Amino acid sequence: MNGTPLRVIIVDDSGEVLSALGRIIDKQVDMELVGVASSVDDGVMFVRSLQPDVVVLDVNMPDGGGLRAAKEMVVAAPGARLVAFSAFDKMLIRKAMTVAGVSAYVSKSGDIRELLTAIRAGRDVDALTTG
Amino acid sequence: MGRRPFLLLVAAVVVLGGVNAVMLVAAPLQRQTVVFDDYSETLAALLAAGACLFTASRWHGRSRQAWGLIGIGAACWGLGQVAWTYQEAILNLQPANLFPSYPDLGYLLSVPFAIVGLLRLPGAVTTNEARLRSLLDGLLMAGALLFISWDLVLGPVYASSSTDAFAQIVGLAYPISDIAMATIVLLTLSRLRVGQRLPITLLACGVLLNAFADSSFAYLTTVQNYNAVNFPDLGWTMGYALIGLAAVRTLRASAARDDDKVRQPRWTLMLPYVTVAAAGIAAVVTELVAGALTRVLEWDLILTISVVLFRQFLFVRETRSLNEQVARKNDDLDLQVRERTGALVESLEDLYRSNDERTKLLLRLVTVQEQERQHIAGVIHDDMLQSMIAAKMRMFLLHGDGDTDDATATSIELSIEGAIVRMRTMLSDLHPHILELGLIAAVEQSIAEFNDDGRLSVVLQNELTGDPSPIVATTLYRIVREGLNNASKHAQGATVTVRLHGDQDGGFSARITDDGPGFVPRGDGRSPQGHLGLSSMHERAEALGGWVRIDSVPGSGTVIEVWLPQKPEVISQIPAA
Repeated sequence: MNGTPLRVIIVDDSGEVLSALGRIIDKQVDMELVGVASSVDDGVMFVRSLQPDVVVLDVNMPDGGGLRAAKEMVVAAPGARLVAFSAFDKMLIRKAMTVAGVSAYVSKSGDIRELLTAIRAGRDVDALTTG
Repeated sequence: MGRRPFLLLVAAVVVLGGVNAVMLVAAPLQRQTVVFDDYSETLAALLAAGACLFTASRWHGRSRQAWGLIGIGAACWGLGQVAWTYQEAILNLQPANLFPSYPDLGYLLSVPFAIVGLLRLPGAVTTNEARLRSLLDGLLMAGALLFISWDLVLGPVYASSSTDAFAQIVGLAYPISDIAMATIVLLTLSRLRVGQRLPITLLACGVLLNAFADSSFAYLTTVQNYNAVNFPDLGWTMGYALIGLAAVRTLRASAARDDDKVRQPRWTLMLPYVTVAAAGIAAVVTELVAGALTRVLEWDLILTISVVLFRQFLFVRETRSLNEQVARKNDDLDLQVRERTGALVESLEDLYRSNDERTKLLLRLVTVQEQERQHIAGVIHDDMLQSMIAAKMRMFLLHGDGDTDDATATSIELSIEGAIVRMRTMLSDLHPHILELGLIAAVEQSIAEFNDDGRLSVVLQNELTGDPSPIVATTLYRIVREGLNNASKHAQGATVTVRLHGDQDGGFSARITDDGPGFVPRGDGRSPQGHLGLSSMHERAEALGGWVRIDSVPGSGTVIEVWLPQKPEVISQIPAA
């Protein structure tokens, strides 16, 4: 296992979710919360400048929502993995997000451990491909 | 009186007439013939009087008066005949010595009663024109009959050199009253009601027979030949028999009211002219036989022809005024039709206007409803749902990422998760977020859900070539979902085809076809029992100026078709007829 913690950015327009999820990620020893953004534009800017390992991206947001954010983030930080984190679990939205470039789609109403697993999943893949 | 008894009466009259005729021919001047004639005349007149009075007692109004007076007239004549029979058949006096005497009192007294009675018969003289026409017709016929009578009877009677002035007056009274009676009877016939054809014709024939017999009697008395040929007796007997039959028949006739519309048989219109023609023929014959007409006849002819001309003049004037009336009525009718049409068009415009307003209101209602739903959905999503999700995460933080045995913590987590699920369901009902990915995406999503559910097998045919406006997309989506909902409830296991069609110009439509059991749609296309959703489909579509059509036959599946205009707006013009 790689000793360097995963650098994570959370983008969500809900302050409450941002703060709670931030604390959860903060508490994970293998993760480092490098930034939180409450809008698509801020999120894209942070991702471009911080080049994180993983972005946890809310889907239902104003200004084009997660779909626009995902498309722009893929360009802004090609090395970052995008995990969609949504209150909606519609097959088509999931498909659209996947097409836009997210590598995992996790429901907000599910167990929070699923999100953590999805964040870590990238590492395993990376580990496999790099080593 | 029924048909059979009446026919029996007719038969009796025919037999009586036959026997009488045979006796007159076979034994002309025999005593038994004279006696038989006298008795049968008396009997006929008194029976006719009885029948008329009985009929009068059963009627009311003009008919009652008419038959009553005719009955009294017949009774007078009958009593006169009783006196005659007493003198001729019982005292065995000679007829020549019996004129004039008591019987003549009865005979002549019967005339005014009969005339007034005939005039009281229900007729159709209602307008002044009709009254004048009747008067002219009466004058015409009186003139013509006077001509014939003077030519044949009156002239010779007048010319006969009877020394007794009283006898001459009585002798003249018969043929003159005959002219009057015949005229009135012909007049009555000329305004015959269809329902009373038989009784009035019988009455007319009876009166005419009597008049003819009277005139013949006067003529024969004048030429002192009554004893040689006494066929007038047969005329009186049969005349009164016919009057009696007419009275009996009237009992059966339908109640004629004075306001009854008179439908005249056509031949009655010819009556005045027929009498005039008969007078003309008499004139020609007299001219040929005697070489010239007497002065009275000439004047009578001139006067009669004047009346004919005057009547024709009136006829032409009346026709022209009738034509003018018809033209005026036509114009009035035209005007009325135009006015009514105008009023109809106006109320139609009102109707369209109020329908317009109703549709506008509906559209506004639907739009506001969607906006409100979207707003509520936004609040739930952005605020409550996120709070719940955050609360769930904090619970996770509270007991760490390890499993916990704390039952309270677990139940709180379960409560939160339940609330999140309910909020999500509510959200997609309130405002289908999926629509933000487009109508097709949203419908595909719904189809996938119904297919996953396993109760339906749904196929999508997408023929859309444009993007509907949000309100159209939302409405179309909701109607399609409602259709699929209905199918999953009432047509489980059915194969359903959803066909989306349309573009920016022609509007957008959806067609949902299933091969389920079908149902009997209501006439107005609204929801039958258990299909409440159909009503809301109609309302949604109509609010946008579109329509929904539902075709279903039990056993043959259901087709729901919806069309919505691209730009929902109200129809504000009356469609061209």
